[in-house]
Amino acid sequence: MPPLVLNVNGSRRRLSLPADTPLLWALRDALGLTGTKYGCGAGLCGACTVHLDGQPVRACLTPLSAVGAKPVTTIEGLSRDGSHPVQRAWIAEDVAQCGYCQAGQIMAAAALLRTTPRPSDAQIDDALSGNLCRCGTYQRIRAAVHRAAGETT
Amino acid sequence: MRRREFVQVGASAAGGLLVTVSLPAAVGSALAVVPPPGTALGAFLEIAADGGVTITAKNPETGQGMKTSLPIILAEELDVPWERVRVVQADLDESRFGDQFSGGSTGISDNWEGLRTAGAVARRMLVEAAAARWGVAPADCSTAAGAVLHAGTGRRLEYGALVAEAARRPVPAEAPRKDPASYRLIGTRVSGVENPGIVTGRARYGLDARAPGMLYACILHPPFGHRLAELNATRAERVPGVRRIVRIEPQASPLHLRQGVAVVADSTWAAMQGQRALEPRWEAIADHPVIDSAALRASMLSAVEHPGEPIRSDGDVAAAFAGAARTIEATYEVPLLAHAPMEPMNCLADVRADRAEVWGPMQNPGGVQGLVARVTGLDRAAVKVHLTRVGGGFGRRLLSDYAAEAATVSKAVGRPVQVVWTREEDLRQDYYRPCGVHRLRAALDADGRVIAWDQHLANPSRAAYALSKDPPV
Repeated sequence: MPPLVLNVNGSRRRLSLPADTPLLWALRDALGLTGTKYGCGAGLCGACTVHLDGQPVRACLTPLSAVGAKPVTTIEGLSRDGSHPVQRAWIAEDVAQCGYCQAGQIMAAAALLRTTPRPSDAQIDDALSGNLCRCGTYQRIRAAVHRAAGETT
Repeated sequence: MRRREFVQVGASAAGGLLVTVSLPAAVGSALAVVPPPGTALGAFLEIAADGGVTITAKNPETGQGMKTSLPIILAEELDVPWERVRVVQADLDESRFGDQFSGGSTGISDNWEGLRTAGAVARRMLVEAAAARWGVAPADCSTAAGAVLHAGTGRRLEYGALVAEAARRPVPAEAPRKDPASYRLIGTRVSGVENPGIVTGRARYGLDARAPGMLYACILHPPFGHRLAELNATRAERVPGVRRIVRIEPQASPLHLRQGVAVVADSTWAAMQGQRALEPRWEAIADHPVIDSAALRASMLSAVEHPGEPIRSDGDVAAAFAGAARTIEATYEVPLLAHAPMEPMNCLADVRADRAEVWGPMQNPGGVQGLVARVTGLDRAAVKVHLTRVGGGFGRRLLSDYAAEAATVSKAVGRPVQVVWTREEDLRQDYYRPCGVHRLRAALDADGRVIAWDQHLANPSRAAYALSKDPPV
């Protein structure tokens, strides 16, 4: 099987995997980037959210054939040092409980703020409704998104 | 019954101060210098010569905040700035830490007294060391932000400068605790210690654990009340990356280990595809108990209409209702409910001939050690348990079945194996939270104040099941 070359977090990564392998498992198992999480494998929970060419996608449902050479950004690549406004807001608001869903939440929030710099509560709910949090941190997620929006606009 | 508290203090290899104390709670403030043999010690605290403080979080962190809140209690009584504190996760070590489970909302209440004592003892010893060096009375000294102060002469010594002397002192008979009115940490919002790792994807959960040479396994369990009659694994074995199929036979108690088929592969994705390609034939187990949600609900709704077994009875409830201006009634129901943590069940085990090592998200690491020892035939002492961060517990991870599965498969293939449950398995094969019905009535007086409260509750008894000698399979 011919090797694929992915562009992940700014680096070219060479992989020998079937083209129908979901991006989630290429990231986690082949590339050792375990920040992107498995929650359901069916696009229902959002824990696997990454950016593909800047757009939020569910990595569990995105085969490598659909990724091609487009740039992939994972939670590890959102910033070099946790300094992205969304990451800093997540710490300032102490959003996480168990934290397992939060990488996906953060990636979805970061994508939202690029298209909608000052979202309303309703816009936040709409954009992040596919990111489930079993611990129920939704109020703090919303507060952190507003905080990050306030810092960047 | 509460145990006496025992504190042991010593010098660390690097010349710092080490404090351990047994948990849970003490009786009064009595301290023993030398604990009796066999007493478990816990609450590990180390103060280094440079003033850095390391606190060991002994319980698993499931999102309930244990890894932050228990260290805060210690740091408060020790009176050090939180910025100086580094928290490290403990492995299972019951001889050092005592109980290390997280469940039943017991974490703070079980550890509160012991942690306050540990911090207070360490602070007292640092004060005594400073007082001795200054030639003043300890009562004339105070502490603030990791330093001992003598107001009378304006002198000040950082804890780091005192640790070597403090470590040589006897454990004091009295160690005054802070007045809660003077708390600086407790009662404030302290950002979770692992937040930086969570927001950058560096925090490691069970599913993120890795061992050299490991394989991945995905499990299929029989539907409730069924067993495997026949298995066609031809298609599963043909999935690229699949190495072996391992059948898991049940332990006597389904709380420990149920029957399953594990597809072992060189990647999680291959294991999941292999699991989906299995072609099992299930057969119903004769005379297996039936769980009928509708029948359970009906029997609980009926049960709450009857007197039942009193748990509490204060005053004359009947009279209050008879004289009430108004009554309110409401019936609350919860169904059998999947725990559904965001991180599905998983565990990594590396089983060798003479020892085993386990990494995973768990709420009862002592239970994991015991069950892994049982299914592998090893001594408990030969089973090392590492606590990863937990992507949600909710009580499901008080059981250790997923660890027993990983150990069983690792032993069968002779490699480290990470067992993963798909979300479908996690929801279909959960040990469901018990269902229940609560029927409430309140009596109100003319001013709308509640003058009587009547609550009848009915639910299946989890304890009765767990304690029964012949639990249904």
